[in-house]
Amino acid sequence: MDNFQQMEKKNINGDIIIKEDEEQSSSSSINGDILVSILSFLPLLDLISASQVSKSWNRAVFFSLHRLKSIPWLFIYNQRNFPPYTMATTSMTYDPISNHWIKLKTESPYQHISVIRSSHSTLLYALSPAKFSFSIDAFHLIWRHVAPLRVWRVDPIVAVIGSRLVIAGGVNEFEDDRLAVELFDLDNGNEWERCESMPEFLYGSGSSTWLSVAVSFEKMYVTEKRSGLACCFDLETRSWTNLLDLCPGEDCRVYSRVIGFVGDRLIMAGITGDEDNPTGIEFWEVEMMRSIGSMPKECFDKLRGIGGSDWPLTSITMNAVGDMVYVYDTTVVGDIVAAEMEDGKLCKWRSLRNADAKWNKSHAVEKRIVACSIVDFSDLTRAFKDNLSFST
Amino acid sequence: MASSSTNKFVLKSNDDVSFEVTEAVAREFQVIAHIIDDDCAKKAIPLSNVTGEILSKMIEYGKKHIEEAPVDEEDEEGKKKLQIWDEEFMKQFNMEIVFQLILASNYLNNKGLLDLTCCTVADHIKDMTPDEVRTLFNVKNDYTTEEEEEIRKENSWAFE
Repeated sequence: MDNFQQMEKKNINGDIIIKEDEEQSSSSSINGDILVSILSFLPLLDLISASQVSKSWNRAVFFSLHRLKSIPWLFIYNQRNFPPYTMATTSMTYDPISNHWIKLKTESPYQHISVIRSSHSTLLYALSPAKFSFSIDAFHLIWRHVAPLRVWRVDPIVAVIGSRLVIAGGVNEFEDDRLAVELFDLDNGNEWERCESMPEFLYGSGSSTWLSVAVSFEKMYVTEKRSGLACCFDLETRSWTNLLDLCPGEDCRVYSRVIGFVGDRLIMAGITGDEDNPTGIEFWEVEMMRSIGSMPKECFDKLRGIGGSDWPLTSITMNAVGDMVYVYDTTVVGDIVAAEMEDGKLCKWRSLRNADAKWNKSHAVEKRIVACSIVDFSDLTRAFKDNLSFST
Repeated sequence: MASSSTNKFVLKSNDDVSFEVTEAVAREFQVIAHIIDDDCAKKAIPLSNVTGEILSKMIEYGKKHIEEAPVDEEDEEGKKKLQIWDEEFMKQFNMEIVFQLILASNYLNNKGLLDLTCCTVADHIKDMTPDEVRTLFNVKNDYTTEEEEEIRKENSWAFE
C-alpha cells in the first residue's frame, strides 16, 4: 500500500518513472496520462467497470471522457406505427470511436400522440393537431411540447436554427398557401409567427419528401433532391434567397441529392446513374463544388442491402454531425454507411449492421427512426441520471 | 552535411546494447529527433529508460513505418497493409512487454506506437472485471465498501 501511494505521488504529472527496483513490474508505472490514453480507447461501457478499479482509475476515466472530442453517435429508435404511439423500451446507438453498438434501455418509454420523424440529424419531432413536440438533446430524453401549428401540414420541413423552430411547406392541399413558413421562438415565444413563404419554384415540391434540409447557426438551406435547385432561409432577415443549382457539373450526373453540414461546411451527397440502375454515391463540398469523396463500392452494395440491386434507389438520407457522416437508403432496409471527414476528405468508410436482429427486417408494427447527435460528458451523466441503462 | 538517408546514429539502451540506425528511423522518435536537431548526437545516444530488448522492438517498428510508409493520404492500401503488420507485430508480446513498450514509446515520444500499444491494452482489459484489472495493473482497491456500492449503483464516475 505504501509503495503504491508513493508511486502515485511521483507520477502525479504523468511523468514516467522507471523503478530502479527490478522486481517492480512496469504495470505499476502505468498511470497518469498514460492510463488516460489507454482508457480513451475503451468503449463507454467498459469505462464503467474501469471506474470501479480504484479512485485513481476513477479519476483517469473522468479525464479520458473529457479528452474525447465530442463524438457524433448514431441513434436508432423504434416506435409503434399506430396508436398508442409508444416508443420501444430498447433503442440502439452506435459509437464510432469504439465501433460498437450499445443497447439503450429505458424503463419509462415515451408515449407520443403521433409518429416521430427526424430532421437534419439530431432533431426529432411529432406533429399533431393538439401540439407540436420536439426533442434536440443527444439521447432524446427531453421532449418539449409547444402550441400546434397554425397551418395544417402533412410533411413539412422542420428545423431548429439557433433558438428558433422553423416549419416550412408540406401544407395540406386545402390550405391557401402551400409554401407557408412558421417560426417559433424557443426562448420566450408562445405562438407561431408567420414569415415569408418559400420561393415559388418549390410549389410542386415543397415537402420533406422532395426536399433536403441542412442547418447552420443562422441559416437553413433547402434543396430539391431531384433538380438540385436550392434556396436559403436567413433567420436574421426572415426571408429567402435563391442559391445556385447544386449540380456538380457536366461530367457527373446526379439524379438525387441530399445536403448536410459537416462542421461549418455544407456538403452534398448525390446518387449517380439513374433510379433503376444507380452506380454510386458521390460527395461534394458545396461552396466550390469540390469533390470530397466517393462511397466505396462494397459500402454502396451494403447500403443497397441483400437483393437491393433489384429495386430502384429513389432517395438516400444523410445524417451529418460533427465530423461524421451517416448515409442510408431512405426506403429500403440496407446497412447504414458511415464515413469521417478528415482534412477536407471523407475517409474511414464502414458499413454498419445493427447488432439488433430486427435491423434488416421491415417491421409492420414498428417504425424505425434514425437520428445522430453529438454526445458529450454531460449528456452521458444526464442519461445515467435518467435511468437509461447501457449494455452491449 | 550528409543526407538523412545515409546519416547513421547509434542508440544505446540502459543495459548497454547498441543499435545503429539511419537518421530517418531515429527521427521516428521525437525525443531523439530533438537531440539530433540540437546537434547533441555526435556519439551514441544513451537511452537510460529503455532496455535493449524493448529498444530492438521499437526500432523494428520504426523501420517498418519508414520503409512501408503509405505513399500519401489516399494510399488506403498502404495504410491497410501497415495496419495489418501492426496487429501481427503486437501479437508476439505478453502484457508485461506491452507495458514496457508503452512506457518507452511515451518516453521517446512516438505517437503511433504509443497509440498502438495503448489500444492493445484497452482491447485486453475490455471484458475484465475490476478485480482482474487490479491484478493485472497491480492496483489496490482503495474504495470503502460503501463507496464501492455507491459507484456500482449509480455508475457515478462523475465528480460533479
